[in-house]
Amino acid sequence: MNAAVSPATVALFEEALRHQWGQGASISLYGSSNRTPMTFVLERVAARLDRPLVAFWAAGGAPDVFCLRDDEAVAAVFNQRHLELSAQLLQLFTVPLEGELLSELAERLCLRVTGEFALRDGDSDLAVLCYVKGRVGESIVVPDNRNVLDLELGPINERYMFLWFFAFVHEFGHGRAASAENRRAMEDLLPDEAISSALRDGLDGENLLPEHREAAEQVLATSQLFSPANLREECSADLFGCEVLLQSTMDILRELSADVVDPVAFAVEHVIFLNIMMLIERCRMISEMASPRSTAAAPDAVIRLAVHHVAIQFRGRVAQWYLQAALANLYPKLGETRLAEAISEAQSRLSHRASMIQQGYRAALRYALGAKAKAGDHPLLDSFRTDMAAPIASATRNETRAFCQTARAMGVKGSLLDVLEGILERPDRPFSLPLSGAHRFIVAWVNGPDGFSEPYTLLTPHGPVAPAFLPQNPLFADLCEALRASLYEGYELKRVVFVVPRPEALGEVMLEHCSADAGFGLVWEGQPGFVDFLTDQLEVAKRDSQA
Amino acid sequence: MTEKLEAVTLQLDASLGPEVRLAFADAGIEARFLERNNIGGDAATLIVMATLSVQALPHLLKFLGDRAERAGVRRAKIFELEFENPTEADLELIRQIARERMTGKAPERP
Repeated sequence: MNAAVSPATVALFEEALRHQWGQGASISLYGSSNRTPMTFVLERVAARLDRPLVAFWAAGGAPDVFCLRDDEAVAAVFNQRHLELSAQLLQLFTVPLEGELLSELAERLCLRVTGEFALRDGDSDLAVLCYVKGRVGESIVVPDNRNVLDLELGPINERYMFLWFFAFVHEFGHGRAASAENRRAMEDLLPDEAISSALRDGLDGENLLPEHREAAEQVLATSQLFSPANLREECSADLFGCEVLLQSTMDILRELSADVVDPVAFAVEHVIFLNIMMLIERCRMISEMASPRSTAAAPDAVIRLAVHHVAIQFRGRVAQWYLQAALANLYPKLGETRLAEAISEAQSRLSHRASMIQQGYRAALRYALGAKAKAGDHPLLDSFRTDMAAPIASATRNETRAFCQTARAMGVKGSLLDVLEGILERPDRPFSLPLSGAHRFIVAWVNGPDGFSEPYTLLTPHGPVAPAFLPQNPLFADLCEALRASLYEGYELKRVVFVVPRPEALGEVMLEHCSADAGFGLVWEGQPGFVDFLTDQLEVAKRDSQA
Repeated sequence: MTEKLEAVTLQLDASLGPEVRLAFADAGIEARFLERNNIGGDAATLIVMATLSVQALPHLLKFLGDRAERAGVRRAKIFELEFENPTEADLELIRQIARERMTGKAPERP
């Protein structure tokens, strides 16, 4: 496979791949010296291309799948992480769950995939929030199997072939899709007007608000992504993928077990994997839209995702049309109508499941798009800390560690990533979130007789000290609860919020609200040692109130 | 004296393909052009990889400068600095480094 390509071209592809991937991925040339299902498939890819191919294997890094091509050769990357995530998402279509439980699982998995794409873009806070939201309070755990050998042990059948090779072969299909001859054939098959009309019809199923519908039609008319030419090329690569996978599956089953392809299973697996591919891609789009750098408004994101859904559905229909014709031709005894009915019946069984998965995906979308405003979601992270402290959480701990390691290998830095690593290391200890954005602090405030008005202070060797918390830190509620019991009669404890331009200004602002002669030191959340100090003081306060 | 060569990588909308090929050919810059397609059907992008002398850089910067406001240039890596959607200010920084290289002054990295 690689032999016909000059070493200089292979080196060029490799350099381009490394540039595209950035840090964190290990990329290597996939050799053909051993006979594997992969080389088996690649032989059939090579036989259908007009130029040599180069196959690379990528491990680690982002779950991107793409191809590169020039006049001499076409290169595609088998992305191990994409395979692992696809295997996880496949569970959505196979686990014996339904209804809300299935939606919840879909939401969690979509959030975690979105988190991985956010890592790729360097949006570490978004990545951590999506990842943690996808894990906190998890009752059904779908393992994130980062051991590709386990996936290799599955039986080689229609599902195995789609799981491993659908995306990979599709990418090589771009090598054929770009040829002038193929372009002409696809233009005859799918003229511009037929595509545009099908996409407009597809929008009817998206239940968009009238104003969004108009904007969606505008996106269809102006975006290169959804242009007839672009969709034709994708459809062509899809058809290539189906053709090669069907041939490869038939041949490999014959060679390994003298078995034959189940045509209904093959057509259904195609639908499942098109859905998986769409979910992964939509998670990528969500991470881009939810990025702090994104300027797109939420309705724009919804419109774009709706149009993307319509485009993928269109691709799916074209590929299914081809597959049903090809399968009917290969299995004439089944009869075209009977085969079509059997496939349609199997697909309708999937459709309810698919709509529950969509519901979960939409919940993930809502969280991710709102994550920008949450900055530090302390309650979420604290719930996760509690989860991590449980002995049963060892699998989640390992997977979270892998998430953090992936982030670091990509060169990602960020305060919430530091917090997540801190939680992993010491889940028994409360944590403090770093300061960011507007400085809002909550303070326990005491009012009493004769106009008494002061922050509650803790007695320390350095004198009385008032603690100021970031909003939502659960330590604040713990502290108030412990303090209330120790108040003298006639005094009351209140929660007061101060908004200051910088933390150093807090003391001055607080003094303006104090009765005369008030004097105290101040510690605020975000300063080093704040949590340790408060945890110790809380213990003392609890002991005092019990005494 | 051996001429110092710089590796340059650009990523552009594929629709700019004919223009960038022409611009590079006119400037006598040899480059390899790779088209990238994603699994999700994003519009294709063009990756341009070239090794060129500092003296040839102005041609490249002119091409980029003409298109900086059109958002067709997605990434540019020059002098080991990487820019996403490079702006005129980014290009000015590259020009400054190029001038320093040509005049033999030690470049000041940001």
